[in-house]
Amino acid sequence: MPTEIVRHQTPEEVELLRKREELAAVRAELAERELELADLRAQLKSFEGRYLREVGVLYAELDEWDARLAELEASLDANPATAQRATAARHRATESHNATHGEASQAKEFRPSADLKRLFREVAKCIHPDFARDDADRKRRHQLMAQANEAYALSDSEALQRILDDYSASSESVQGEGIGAELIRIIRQIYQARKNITTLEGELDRLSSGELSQLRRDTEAAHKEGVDLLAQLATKLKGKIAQRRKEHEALIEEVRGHGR
Amino acid sequence: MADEFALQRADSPARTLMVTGNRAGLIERGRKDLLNLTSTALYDKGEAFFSADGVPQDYTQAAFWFRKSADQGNAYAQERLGLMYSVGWGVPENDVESANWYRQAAEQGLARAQYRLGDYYLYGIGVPKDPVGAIGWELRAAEQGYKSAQRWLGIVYLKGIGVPSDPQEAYFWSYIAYELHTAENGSVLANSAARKRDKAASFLTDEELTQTQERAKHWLASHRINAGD
Repeated sequence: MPTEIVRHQTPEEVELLRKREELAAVRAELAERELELADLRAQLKSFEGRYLREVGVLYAELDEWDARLAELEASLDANPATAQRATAARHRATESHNATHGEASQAKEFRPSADLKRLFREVAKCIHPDFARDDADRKRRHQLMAQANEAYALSDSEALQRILDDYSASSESVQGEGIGAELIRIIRQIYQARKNITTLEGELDRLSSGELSQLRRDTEAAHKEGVDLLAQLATKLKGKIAQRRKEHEALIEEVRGHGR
Repeated sequence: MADEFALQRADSPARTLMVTGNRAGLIERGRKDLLNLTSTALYDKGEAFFSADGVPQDYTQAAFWFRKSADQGNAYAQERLGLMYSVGWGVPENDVESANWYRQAAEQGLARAQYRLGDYYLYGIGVPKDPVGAIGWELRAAEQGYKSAQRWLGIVYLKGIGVPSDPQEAYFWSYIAYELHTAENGSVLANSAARKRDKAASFLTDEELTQTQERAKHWLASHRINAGD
């Protein structure tokens, strides 16, 4: 009867297997959270761009007329309060102008494909800084993670793939680490990742309860009922702008009349 | 359109101010204005049922839409609900509810609601009786040019209802109410204000009379009024 040598697994080995599985699960969860966050950020950015282009510019125009009116009034009387009002109105107009003409207003529509999402998940699992072996590695992973987020927002799957390829080529498992050392490393990584999941969830909450998110939710809810809230707002603002324009013209007429 | 402004801005002194864009501010304004837009649309629906404008009059429907609008902070809808609860139109009569809605509208500065709330405080309707608080609300409405509140102050100060009588204040507000009513050809109410004004005048010395007249004239000159009855 042939005797088979059955090597029983040591308790450390059993534990290591279990921890490896746990780490894999935590990695997947962390990647999922990173994806959600990257998604939300990109959606908000794209919505903000649309808002700034459709509505923000009208606020900027309205503020411009307010500023002109206030400046005209200030030029007509020597009251310091009027001058102060004009300065404040001009300040606000400039702020609104800058807000609607900056990079944020260029954000395009964001519709990630299933492939793009899958790729991002892979990248996040692989390069997440939480799974770094040392400080140098962590630093590098942080950089890559930022690049990955950026690439995702731009729907640039080629860049994501490149990040993934570069990273897998450059770093592989540690040789001769030993069971004890690996166990400790994995336990630490699990701990770190759990902590980070909580942080990411907090960030998700914060972002989705902000003014921008609420505005986006309202707009989308109305859209489902066939109502374009931003268009309604734009119409209202155009009416106000027309009114200010008239006030401004009337005041100029008045000034000319007095001048004669 | 916007770039036309940029040209002009280049020469303006504000250029030297270092200003960054305020995106968060623009978003906040949009949210607020949108809320206003939707609450106004809801109020309009209620108003149509309330005053049978294009639909049969239906106070239950009116209350339903006013409620939706009022919950979003629309002061006009809140005032309407205050009225409906006070008389039991489309809702069960309830003075406390009524006072609550009037208060919300009054705190937002709606003169009509301030006027009603003041009356509630004077007689303790739906709120604890508080004549001094009552005067405070009526003054806020009267200052906005709300003539009912001005006539109200005329009576309360003349007869000393809940507060010590004060013919000078009675004269002041009756005088203003009369002038505003006359300007709008509101003869019945103008006459009512005139009677109180003349009654109050009979308690004043010549000097007090002249002084109060001056004060009222000054008030009229410095207020551009358009706040309803």
